[in-house]
Amino acid sequence: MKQTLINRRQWHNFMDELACLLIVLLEVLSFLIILYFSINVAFSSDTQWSDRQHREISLAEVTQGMLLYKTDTVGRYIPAATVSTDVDIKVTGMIARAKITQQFKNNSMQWLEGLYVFPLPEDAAVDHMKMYVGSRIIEGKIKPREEARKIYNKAKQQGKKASLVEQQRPNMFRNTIANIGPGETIKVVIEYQQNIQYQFISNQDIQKSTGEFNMRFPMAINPRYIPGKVINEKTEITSANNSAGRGWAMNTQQVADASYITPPVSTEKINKINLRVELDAGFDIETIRSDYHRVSTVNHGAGKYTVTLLPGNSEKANYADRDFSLRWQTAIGKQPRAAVFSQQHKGEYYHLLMVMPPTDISMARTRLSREVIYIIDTSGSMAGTSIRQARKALLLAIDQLSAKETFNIIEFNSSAHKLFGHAVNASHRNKVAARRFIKSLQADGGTEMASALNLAFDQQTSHSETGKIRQVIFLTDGSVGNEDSLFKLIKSRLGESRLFTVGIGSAPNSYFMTKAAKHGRGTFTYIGNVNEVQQKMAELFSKLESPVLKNLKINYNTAEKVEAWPEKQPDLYLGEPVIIAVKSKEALDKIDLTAELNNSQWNMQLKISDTAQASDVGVLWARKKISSLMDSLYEGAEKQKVKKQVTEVALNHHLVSKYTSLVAVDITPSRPLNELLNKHAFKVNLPADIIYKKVFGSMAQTATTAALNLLFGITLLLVALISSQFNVIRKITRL
Amino acid sequence: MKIFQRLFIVITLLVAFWQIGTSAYIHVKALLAQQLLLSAWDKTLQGEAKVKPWAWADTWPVAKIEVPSVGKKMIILAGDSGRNLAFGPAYRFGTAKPGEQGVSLISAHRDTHFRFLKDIKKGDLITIETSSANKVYYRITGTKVVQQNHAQIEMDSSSKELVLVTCYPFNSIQTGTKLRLLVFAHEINNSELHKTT
Repeated sequence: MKQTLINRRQWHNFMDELACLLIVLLEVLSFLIILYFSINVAFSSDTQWSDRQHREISLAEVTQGMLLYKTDTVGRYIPAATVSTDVDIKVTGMIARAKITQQFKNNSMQWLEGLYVFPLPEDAAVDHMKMYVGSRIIEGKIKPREEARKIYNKAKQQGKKASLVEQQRPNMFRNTIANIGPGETIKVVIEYQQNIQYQFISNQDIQKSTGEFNMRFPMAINPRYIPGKVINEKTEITSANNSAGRGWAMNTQQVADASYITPPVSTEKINKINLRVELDAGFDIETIRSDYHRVSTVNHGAGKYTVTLLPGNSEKANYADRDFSLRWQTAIGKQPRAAVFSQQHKGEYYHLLMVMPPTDISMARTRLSREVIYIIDTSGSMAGTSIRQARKALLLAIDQLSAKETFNIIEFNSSAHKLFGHAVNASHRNKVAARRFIKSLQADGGTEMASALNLAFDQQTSHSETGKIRQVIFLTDGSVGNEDSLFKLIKSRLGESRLFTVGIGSAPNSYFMTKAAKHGRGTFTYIGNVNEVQQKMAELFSKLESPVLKNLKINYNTAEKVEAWPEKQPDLYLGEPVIIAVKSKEALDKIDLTAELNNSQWNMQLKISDTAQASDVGVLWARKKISSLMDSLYEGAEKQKVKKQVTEVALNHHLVSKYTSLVAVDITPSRPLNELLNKHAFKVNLPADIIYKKVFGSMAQTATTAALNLLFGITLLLVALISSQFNVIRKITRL
Repeated sequence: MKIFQRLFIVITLLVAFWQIGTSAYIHVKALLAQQLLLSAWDKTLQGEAKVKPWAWADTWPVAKIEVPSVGKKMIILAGDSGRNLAFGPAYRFGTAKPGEQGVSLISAHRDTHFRFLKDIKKGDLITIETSSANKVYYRITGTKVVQQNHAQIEMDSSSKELVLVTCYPFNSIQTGTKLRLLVFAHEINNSELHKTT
């Protein structure tokens, strides 16, 4: 008995030792497992070496617009240089003169060359630039583009401060500033002029219309989609390397200047902006409002107003991340039907004419028989708010089709698809199918616009065959860099179709929209937010269903030579005015206009004797001439000839164009030549509501949580085991 | 004291099993889905379009990829969404369909379907079987590790190319990793194929 007791105690001890051994074993095991994973992690960070190198390059991208400047606080970086903008716009009647002050501040300890890409209205006539260096003011001179670049480069190498303003697109400009010293600020003032958009808006309820003026100031650049193969530096003969413009895209065969039109994008809000409009409408204004910004409006009476930006609800300042749009309307029935602005300059007379054709034809409106092709852009830049606006607009358009009309829908991103094989009747069944299709549309991928337009222009039926007018309605943000080739495509394939562009989003490419509509002989409608969809689409529908003013002819009643731009007036849709800029040798007295409207003739005489005198009408005339000359390129005009003509008129009127730039050079060098000059590409904001990863793409997330789950699970298992043996452990430690 | 201890052990055990189960589920789902996809692929080869591998699926098989050097065969799905990647490698809409002219971007998880990418080497053969039962042969021309935000892949090509994408590094437990391993492969013609085999 005693023996067994001892035996039992021995047995007990043995068991204790065994448990102890087990725990030690488990501990070793868990140690090994943890070691395995930590080695893995350590090892994996070891294999990241190649990437770390990559990251260092990113961080040290002194030359790639990523230069960061370390502050006293650890881990805090501020950009090496910042830009802030002040905009002052004076509006007199239908002419706006804007002054844009860009302040470039260098926060770093190095000398910088700043590259800043910024948007302007697509019809802006940029005619002045001044550079402020301390107390000195240097006036910019207009030069042919290559010459201006040479002047700038020479100044840069000599260590002199210089500023060069070039046009990348009619609505996208580039300011390059040389030799900004450490801690210095350089101010550049750019001036432009434009004529204000004007149209009649019919009020459905009372069958009467009001006149609406709209002035837009673009503040953001929607990242452009760059199609085509990257130009291979080694095999292609190019003057510069394919990322010379320091943008996020490389030059491609379809967009040769891609690196110049894709400024690096900031993920945080940067680039503060202030804006102030002094408005002198010339008549009483019924309503005035800003579409997308909070503003303070002060009424000075007699149609005079001051409008200033207020900071957004949650922010302390305004950032350049969406377009500014100001609208003012006349009282019903009080809208001007004609206006003339004149200027006498160097012995020549310049006139800007505006005439509104009759708009009360809606009563006698015979509904046109139509075939409507809708194109909807579902590329990544449309993701979020934009695609919702586009879907809503398209649904409205489908609802409004009558059963006799035929329609089809084309959706495109990286490739284009048709809803129906060919245009179908707008029957109830087809409309239901269309609605279901529209509601399912999601935005992602590229912007291969050419394939969509080709689909739309395929299967064209002739008007004489079907008796139908073919309208193509194109909903997009126009974020493409290959505008040129698209205009060519539209011009060559349009046939009897008419192209109507509908701009969507907070910063659409207005240059593409307006010109595409012009080459497509249609109109451009802009929708900035979801609340506007209904009203803007209604405006478009009334244009689509109303007769067009055609074959406008003008008699200037003078024996002297008259040069009028545009040379050939486009077809005009309901509510659109005739706008012409004229240069003549002698003062014009009266002008006769005739046109066809709704199968009858429309005549009007315009008296010029008592017109408003305005300064700089000549500049607007020159800008319209340049625009028309550039358009002639898509009609087969000879490139060298156009370049020569544009350069000539641009130099005469001191205008920036594709072929001419403004350059200002300081007198004395400021940078010691032994100091290096670093390039800094200023970042720009992604327009409000644009989703970064939908635009720049991101690869699929290809790591699962499996390994992490397993590690966590095993660790917990061990914890559970150890704690279940807690008593044993305590016993051992007591021993 | 004892009750708390027991409770603690039970909860810890439960969480442990849940975690291990989750891990296992990911792997099992990856394996099982490929089995289900095989029959959908057979139907596709017989001419049916966009065959749903299971009733509620919103994807369909587009091609079959085979890498003989590591003995792997897999069905490629349409659309590289997170949900699809749980079932198999998937090609990105907007890039060329695997086996067709242009560059096809095919992604898969580094823990499951594309784990084998750590064992491949330059010159290895890849076979793509298309829905029309054509076989296209590719050779791996190189690999590259990139930051997913900074990577630029040339998507325009007049020949047939594949880019296989997976997360990198392989032995990491991090999930939201920014690094991707890209494996590039170019089509080779039959004569070249016979020379090497």
